[in-house]
Parts: sequence; C-alpha cells; structure tokens
Amino acid sequence: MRWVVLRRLALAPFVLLGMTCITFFVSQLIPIDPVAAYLGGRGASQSDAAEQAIIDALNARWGWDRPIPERYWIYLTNLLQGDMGESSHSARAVSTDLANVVPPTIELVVAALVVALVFGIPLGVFAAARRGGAWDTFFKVVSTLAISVPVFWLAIVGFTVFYGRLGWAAGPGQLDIFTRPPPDVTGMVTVDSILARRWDALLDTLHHLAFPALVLGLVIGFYFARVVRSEMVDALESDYVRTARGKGLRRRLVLYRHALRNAVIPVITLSGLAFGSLLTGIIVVEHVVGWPGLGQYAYTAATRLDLNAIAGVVLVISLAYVLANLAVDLLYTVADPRVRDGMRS
Amino acid sequence: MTSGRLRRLEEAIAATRIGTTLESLRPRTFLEFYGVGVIVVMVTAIAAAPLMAPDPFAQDLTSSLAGSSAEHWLGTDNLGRDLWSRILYGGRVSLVIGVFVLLTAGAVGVLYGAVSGYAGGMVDAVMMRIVDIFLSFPSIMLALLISAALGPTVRNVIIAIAAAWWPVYARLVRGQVIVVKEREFVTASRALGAGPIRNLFRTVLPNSFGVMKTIFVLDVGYAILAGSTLGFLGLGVSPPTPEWGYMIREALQYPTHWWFILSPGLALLLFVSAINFAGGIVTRSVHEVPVR
Repeated sequence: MRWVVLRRLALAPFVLLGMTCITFFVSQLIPIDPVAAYLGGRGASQSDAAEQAIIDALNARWGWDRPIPERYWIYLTNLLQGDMGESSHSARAVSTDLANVVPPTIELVVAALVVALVFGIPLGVFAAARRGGAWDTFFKVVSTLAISVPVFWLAIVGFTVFYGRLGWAAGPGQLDIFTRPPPDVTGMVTVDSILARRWDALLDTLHHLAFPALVLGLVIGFYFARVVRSEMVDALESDYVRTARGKGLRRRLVLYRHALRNAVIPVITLSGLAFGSLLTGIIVVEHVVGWPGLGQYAYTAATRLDLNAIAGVVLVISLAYVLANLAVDLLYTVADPRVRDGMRS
Repeated sequence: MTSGRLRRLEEAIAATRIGTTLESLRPRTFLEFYGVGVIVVMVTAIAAAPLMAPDPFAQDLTSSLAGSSAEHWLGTDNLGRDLWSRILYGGRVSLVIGVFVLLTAGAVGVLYGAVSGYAGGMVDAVMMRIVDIFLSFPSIMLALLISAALGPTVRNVIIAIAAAWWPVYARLVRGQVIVVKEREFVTASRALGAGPIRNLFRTVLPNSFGVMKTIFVLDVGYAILAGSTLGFLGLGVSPPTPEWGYMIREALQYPTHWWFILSPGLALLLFVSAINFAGGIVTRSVHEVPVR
C-alpha cells in the first residue's frame, strides 16, 4: 500500500505537467489576442507610441508574438520559477492572488463536504431501508427537486430569507466588519482564529461560513444520498445481507455494518469526482454571498479574459483534483479490505 | 472533471433496456405522469406565448415593480415589464438553448466518437487522448471563457456549453460503436461490399443511436440549467431578451420584491424537475446518478 501511494506521489508532478500543457493549449484555442486581453481598457488610454512600447515589453517577457510551442516553453520555465504571470484585472502577480483566494475556498469546500456526508449518507440509508414506501417516494421527490434547482437561485432566495428577513445567517464576507481579524497565518480564518486563540473571531467566521456551506452541502448531499440509496438497494438484496439477517443480527447492525460498508465505496469515488463539479456551485455561491474565494476569482478571470489568472485557476483546480483522487485511493483501502489485501500481495 | 456527468450517463445507458419500443416509453408511475404533464403544459404555454401574454418588451415605468394584478398576473419587473410574459418568452430562450446545446454537442460528439471508435488503433488512441484533455479541463471554466470571448448572444451560449459538453458524448458513442462494429450484421454488410463510410453511417451508427436518445432526455434539463447559470453570471443572452437566468440576476438588486426573484427561479425549478421526473421513463432503474 505504501508503495502505491509513493508511486502516485512520484507520478503527481508528471500529471501536473500534463495539466499545464492542457491549460495552456486550451487557453490558446480561445480566439483572442493575449496582449489585447491583458491590456484591456488600460491599453486604449495610452498614446500609440507608448502602447507599442508596452506591447513590446509584454512580448519580451511572455513571448506572446512567438509560435505556440515556444510560448508554452516560456510559460513553463516561468511557472517553474513560481512566476504565473500578472493578472490583468488585479495588476498583481497571479501567485499572490491565488494565495489570497484559495484558503477561503478550502474552508468552504471542506465545510460543504462535511455537511454533505453527514446528512447525505444517513439519508440514503434511510431511504433504501424503506424502499418502495412512502418515505422513499418522499425522498425521491425532494432529492429530484434538489438536483434540479438552480444553485444560484437557491443561494439568493436562502440568503434573502435567512439573512435579509430573519437575520439568522451572517452577512457577506468571512467576518463581521466589527470583528478584528486574527493575525494572518494560513489565510483560513477559522484556523487562524484557533491558532491565535481568538474564540470570538472563530464563532463569527463559523457563522459566516454556515450559510454558503449549507447551500452547497445540501445540494451535494442529496446527490450523495441518491447514490447511497441506489447502492444500498443493491446491497440489501445481496446474499451476504440475507445471511446476516438469517443469523438473527439486529437490523441496525445489518444496515450500517454489512450493507453500508459496501455501498459507501462509490460515494468515496464520487466525492473525489464531485470536487470538479463543485466548481460551478462554488462560483455562483461565492458570487451571491460575497465569499472572497477562488470561485469569485475564477469568475472575474473568465469574464475579464484574464488569461494568466485563468491558467492559474485551472492549475490550482487540477492540483486539487490530483490530491483529491490520491485521498480517495487512500480511503478505498480503509473502506474496502479487498483493495488493502490486493495491494499487499 | 466532467467525469461525474460521464459516470451518470454511463450508468443510465447501462440501465436502459435494449430494444426500447414506444410501448415501453409510456409513463407508469405518478411522478412520471406528473413530469410528462408539466412538460406538455409548459411547452404548450411557451409555444403559445404570443396568444397568452402581452408584449414582453413593453416598458411602463410608472408601474414598475408592481405586485400581482388583473393586468399583470405575476406583477412587473424593475422596468415595468410584465413578468408573466417575460417568463413565457424566457422559456423560449431556455428551451432553444437546451435543445440546441444537445443537438450541437450531440452531432459533434456522435461524429467524433463514431469515427474514433470505428477507425480504432492509433487514430482512436490519439482522438481519445484529445477527448481526455477536454474532459480534464473544468467545463464551467471552458464555457465561461468561450462565452466571455464570443460575447453574449443565444448562439454563443449554445456554442460555449456545447464546446464543454461534446467530449462526454464522443466518449459514450465511441464505446457503443466499438461494441456494435463487432456484431455479425456489420460483418455481413462488409461482406456485401459496403465501404467503410457506408458501413459506419448506414449500419453501425443507426444501431448505436439508442445511447443518444437516453442522453437527450437526461441532459436537456441540465443544458437548460447550464444556460441559465451563464445567464445569471451575465454571460448568457444580452438584455432586453428575456431569459430566466438573467432575470434572476436583474432581480438580485430588488430583494424586497419577492415575486420578481421567485418567479423565474420557480419556472426553472418546475421545468427542470419535470424533465428529471419524466427521465425515469427512459432509464427506469434503481441507478439514478445525476450530477450537475
């Protein structure tokens, strides 16, 4: 098992290299002039001579006038030195921007996944145990609605009701404006608050985190629950569950120990894959509640045609994807003894 | 990263019974009847919009953001335009986006997948690696990028979403073609002297098409959702064209006027969930694994 993980880790740089290649070439397929996109409104405000000087300077640094393979090489060598270019929108280095926006999104994604797993898995078990019954039909209706709802609309309506009307949810951002932020160590306000023992800040940021995490978590959770339900229905009709019942084991034990153990494996795979699908949800939810994370940054980057920032965002997502799948492989061995033993031999 | 979608469709295809007849495509359960009923009613209303609603572009600033009345059934928006009318006409845009995304992405995907699967060998390997590249690029980023680069029109929204979706279809059709091309009737057709092009398009493809029918029913709802998401982000259609996603974006500035924000969202939810309820007719299986 250790070897598998080590091999995966050793392969990761090559996978990432492939990802940079993809990022670069797909962004080249977009029919826009990178110099014009980079300058945007700024370019037009200069005199012709000054503009030409700017264009020359940009071309000298990024080689935007060279052939595509050569540009890829320049991009790659810059990237290896930690230079992801400058964002045309924020006028800062993309790496600096990413360091600011990635930690809040990690908080949001982790919180949403926790919500999704905590209520999605038991819900799927519950529905499967009562398959064909009234509760199962109810589950089917609600979960179909949950996967059909436009997430951005759900977020807006929820935010209007729970923040605007009832005042239960916290407002936009990560902290209340009256809360002094904890010293910035990791960029994740929750972790920073704990490190600085600032319990008031911790409570406040958890309050702000709750709403976006619940919206995202509910939508993913119902999706997980549907998978768990369909896998559980299969498992409950299997021979080993009949045997377990025949031995006279308690119902709860059969459900959770025998059936769920086998039904949960696809969920592990899916939570790795869901990482990619999560991005759409992150973009719209962060947009609605003003969470200063990767989703908002990705949205601005794409709409402003900020090519360097887009490449940076895609690279970060690819990295997250690789790491998530590594974590999934590790979890497999915990959930499925066959994998563990197969790897040992 | 669209692998979630890929997996859902693969499972649905596996669950689709072979030899689907019109008889077996009848709704059976209550939810399936409900889904089909809502779709029929909504599509009829959307098609008959000019008969059922006033001009969606007529502004009346003196009665902006008005509540429900005999004149304006669902009230008015910020420019005093009739919301009921804008929802019906907005449904046209959403429906056109949904259907044409699938037609475009489907056509490209089927052609690409069929050629790849039928050719086999090196050609197949290279063509599928290209698909892998597209699949590993986050589809929402690709759609955002393309619609931002091309500008906000209905046609460009369709191009943007189709560009992000075709690789999944290519992969699925290729898988089907690889199975079908080994069947006896294909060998028979070849023995009768059919060339590779005739063989592919007249013999193999028509027999791989069942897959696309399943995909069409399951994905049209998500295509509509994707279109409205782009609309909400301001990258869909340009105003004053009514579109459900963009209407929600406009309503965002008037949170106290609940009917303005609720009605387009409810229309979306009603329509997409009806499609998903009715989708059970095609798969009718315990394996329902949708992902966005």
